[in-house]
Amino acid sequence: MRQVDYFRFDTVGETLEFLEKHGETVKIIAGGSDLIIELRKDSWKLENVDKILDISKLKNIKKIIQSERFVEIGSVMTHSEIAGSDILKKEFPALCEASSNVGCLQTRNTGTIGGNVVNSSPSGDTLPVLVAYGAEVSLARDQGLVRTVNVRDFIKGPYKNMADPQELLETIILEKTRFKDQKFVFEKLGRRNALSITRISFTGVSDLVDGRIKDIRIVPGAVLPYFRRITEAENFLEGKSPDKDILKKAAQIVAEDVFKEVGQRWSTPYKRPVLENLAYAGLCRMYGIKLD
Amino acid sequence: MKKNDLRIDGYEKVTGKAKYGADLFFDNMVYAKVHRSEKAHAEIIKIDKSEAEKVRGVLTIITAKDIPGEKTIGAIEFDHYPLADKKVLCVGDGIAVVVGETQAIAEEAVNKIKVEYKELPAVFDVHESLKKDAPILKEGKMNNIAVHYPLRKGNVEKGFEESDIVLEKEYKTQFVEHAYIEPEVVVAVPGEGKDEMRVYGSIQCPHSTRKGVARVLGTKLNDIRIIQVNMGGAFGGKDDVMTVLSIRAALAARKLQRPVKMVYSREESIIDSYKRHPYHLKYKVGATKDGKLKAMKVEMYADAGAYISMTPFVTWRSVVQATGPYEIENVNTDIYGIFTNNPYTGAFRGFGSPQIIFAQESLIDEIAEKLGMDGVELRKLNGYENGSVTASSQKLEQHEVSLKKAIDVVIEQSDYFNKKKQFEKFNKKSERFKKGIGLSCSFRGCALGAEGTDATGAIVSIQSDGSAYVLAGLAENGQGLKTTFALIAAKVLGISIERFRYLDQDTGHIADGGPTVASRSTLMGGTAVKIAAEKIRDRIAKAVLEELGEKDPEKIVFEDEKVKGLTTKKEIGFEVAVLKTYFAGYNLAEYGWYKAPEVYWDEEKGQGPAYFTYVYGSQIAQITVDTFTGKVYVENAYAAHDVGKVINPTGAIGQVYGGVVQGIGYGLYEEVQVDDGKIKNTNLDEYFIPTVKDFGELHATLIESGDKYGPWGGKSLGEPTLELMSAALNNAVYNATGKRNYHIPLDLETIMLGHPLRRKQKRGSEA
Ligand SMILES: Cc1cc2nc3c(=O)[nH]c(=O)nc-3n(C[C@H](O)[C@H](O)[C@H](O)COP(=O)(O)OP(=O)(O)OC[C@H]3O[C@@H](n4cnc5c(N)ncnc54)[C@H](O)[C@@H]3O)c2cc1C
Repeated sequence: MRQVDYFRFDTVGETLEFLEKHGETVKIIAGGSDLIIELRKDSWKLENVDKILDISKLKNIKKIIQSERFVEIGSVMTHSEIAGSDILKKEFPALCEASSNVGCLQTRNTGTIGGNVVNSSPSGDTLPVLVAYGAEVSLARDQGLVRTVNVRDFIKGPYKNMADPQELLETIILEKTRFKDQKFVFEKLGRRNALSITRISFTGVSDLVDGRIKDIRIVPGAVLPYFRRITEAENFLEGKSPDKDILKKAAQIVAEDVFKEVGQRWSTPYKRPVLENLAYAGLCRMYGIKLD
Repeated sequence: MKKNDLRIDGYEKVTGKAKYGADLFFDNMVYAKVHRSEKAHAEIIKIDKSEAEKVRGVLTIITAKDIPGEKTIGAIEFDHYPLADKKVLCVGDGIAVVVGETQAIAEEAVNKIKVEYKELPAVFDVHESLKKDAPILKEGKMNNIAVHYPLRKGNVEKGFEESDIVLEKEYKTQFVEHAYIEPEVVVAVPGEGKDEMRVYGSIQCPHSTRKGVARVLGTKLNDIRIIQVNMGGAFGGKDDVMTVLSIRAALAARKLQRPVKMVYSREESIIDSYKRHPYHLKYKVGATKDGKLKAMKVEMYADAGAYISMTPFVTWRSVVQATGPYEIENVNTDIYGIFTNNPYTGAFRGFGSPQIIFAQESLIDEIAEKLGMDGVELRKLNGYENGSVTASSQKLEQHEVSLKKAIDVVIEQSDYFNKKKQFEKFNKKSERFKKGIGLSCSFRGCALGAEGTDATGAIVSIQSDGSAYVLAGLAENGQGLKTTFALIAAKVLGISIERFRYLDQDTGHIADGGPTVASRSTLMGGTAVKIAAEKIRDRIAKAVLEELGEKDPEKIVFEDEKVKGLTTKKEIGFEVAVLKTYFAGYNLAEYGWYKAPEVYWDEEKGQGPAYFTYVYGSQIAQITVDTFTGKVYVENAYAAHDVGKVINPTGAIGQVYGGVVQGIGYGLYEEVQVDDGKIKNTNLDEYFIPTVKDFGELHATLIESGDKYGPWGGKSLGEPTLELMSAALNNAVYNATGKRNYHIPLDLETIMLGHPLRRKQKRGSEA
């Protein structure tokens, strides 16, 4: 276990100041459900770190606020809080679904959405959903510097992202979809039904207008080193009425597109057919088509 | 017995007051960490301690050189080095023990030890290990065979000739980790007397551990006291490894004359502890067209890993039970335990039965299908009943052979035949999910059998106010032994278990009654408790004879906290009776001792009455297979077990639930992945045991056929509950998908692709 000193401030301002001053030697801790494991392993990722800075009690980033066009989620909102939020259930139900499936109750009660994003694991469960909803993160730095970045661009690869050590992810900003009839799905496959790292996930969100698919976003999880929409499949489905044949074809496109990029790996013989199956099953569930 | 009797150790566990090993603290206590081998087979050229010694607060570093007594231990053969001497035989072998003032100091220093090795050729596969050019792993041996047990009965060749159908199949099982929730922990505390040493810890078999510690420290047995503290599970897994920990800590404590605490992390636990034996099994079975099993030939290879540990006993149980609960005239079985440079393998709930049952019960279903029968029908046709003769030519008499009853119970409860029909219909039209149901059954020898001496003791002591102590030579590992033993004494004395306290499990307080293994506690230890309680009861009866106006002590009954005269109808409270006995000067404490009936085994032919009694059980798995992902979900599991007599209803049902779920883990999820001798999944995020979300309903039925042995006929339950699920699952998967599998675990990839998939290189960017 890596030995570190612990710090906590009452305000975001002081927190940012401290980050600015200590840079790479300090690591933010929110719920700690990823970081503690790294500390325990004495991971190389923490090479220069000798301090942790607790942000979990910062009131300003522990809330969800909405305006007419946007919903802003404070980064230290836990998965349990997200799963139970009425605003989110209404506007971004797929996010609630993803958060409610994280780990186990204890993980959901401590783990935060900000931590999930900044940890940037290929099997981070909220990430594909955030990409599907086109979310942005706001990164704050001392002296009032703030930048907003699309989650899609923010994730650079497995456990890599655009945040500097001096930056705090303050909020996640989601623009409301204004869907008439939001259809959504978050399918998650692990080796067991709880406490299991996601092997593959499938996120789908769309509107359904007069029986036709509109503005669909499809994002697979844990199959690529980062997260992106599968526009080919989306374009294929746009404007169509969902039925099994169409959804099956779309699922094929998803798998083809992903594995063109991934190439052949040890796990491909399993992951390829299963991604296709999961996409098909997910799309069916999304549009209420029963699969026995 | 009453339903819902509380656990005797429930209060302290529920309130969090119970101390486990990691909670122990002694004045002046220091902390030890182990440096382990990274090599699977190598000579140790040099152990460089210099950098580690420079860490401030490091007190000593112990290696094999510091051992005053013998360098090896072992319950059967002395081949196991608690600290490697000259050579390492597997990854994870302990080489040095670093002791520091704090845990952090010990941790820092242990990484600074450098060991220079000369690597030796290593072998990781049982068949490779048998080849002529394989490195010989044990000095003075001609080959790497740790043990070989044959069994010959009748003439198998003739049997196959007389068969209309012959089927040959091979099966493979995996390394499995016990995954007790509490990792290993000990504290060694030097005593005040010369050479005295106490070791407190999560120790399954205190007397076995004492032998090892005394041997390596070079002391007498009575210099060492092993004191068991509350255990967070064992499942057979806290035997040899705890002896190793105790020795390592005791060596350091002896040198420093300070208490030394050693707590393993989960990773250390998985790397350092022994596993369930992986088996490679080759079965050949012949049957007539009307379903009579004529002959069975079995050849099995068990990976013993680097040390012999319990391999001879584990494989011996396999040879006795390999052909299952079926009457077969002609049997030819061979099992080989083979040394490799893999992690060593030893005792694990089931002990050589889960592997063979997986194979043989999968095989029975397959040959039944070839014969155009349901597996259940074939089992009924050939299954043991009263008077049946086993593969070792033992006639099953003097107890009720309840195999078919157990099968009937689960068939009825699960509505097996109807469900089969329904599922067939469902599966014909379903696109994603396929449903299936599968059964397995077994017989199991109780207690140690012809493995070795089987005797054990217990103390019951009544205090002058009618409260009581109980203590036995067998130990509480979480299974509820304390409660069961108190219940037995309480029943004999007609009192409630609230009167009882269980005494500290200390090798200085009770005689060596053998290891807490082989589902023998209720049967053997329970009988010893009963004997002790009966002796006291008889003495009390004598003391109150006059008071109750009776002449014959036989006429005194003990019930409802009272002592009564049967003819006179007079009665007095238990307390009063106890006081009378006390003032009469009679001893209110007793030792009970029970030695098992004679058993016998002819090692050359593999013939003889292996165990003095048996239990029977059957389980059914009803599953849904997600053909889109390969995921198997157990909707319902049904288990029926004949325990002879239920002593502790809540505890017994708990045993069934736990065993079934562990069986589900064995069948579906669990595998210690060993690559060139090195374990890859060293924590529970990658070694998967089932969670409560991974199965549906569990249905347990306890059958009570009684027995002439055991307390009121109470026999064994712990292990039979685990051994049956993997085969039931395999048969259910076939029923659902029409695809047969020949290995476990039945993981996602196996169900999808028919074979497992393994990551070849290091963990990449992929999840
Ligand atoms: C048993 C278990 C099960 C799990 N199961 C799942 C699962 O099913 N799905 C899943 O997606 N994840 C799972 N996780 C991972 C983890 O719980 C989540 O990723 C969680 O969201 C992390 O949040 P946290 O607050 O605990 O992060 P922390 O551990 O506190 O932080 C993680 C990283 O993010 C940085 N960080 C955190 N917040 C900020 C911020 N606001 N600004 C800048 N940097 C920040 C930290 O410095 C650190 O590098 C599991 C973890 C455990 C232990």
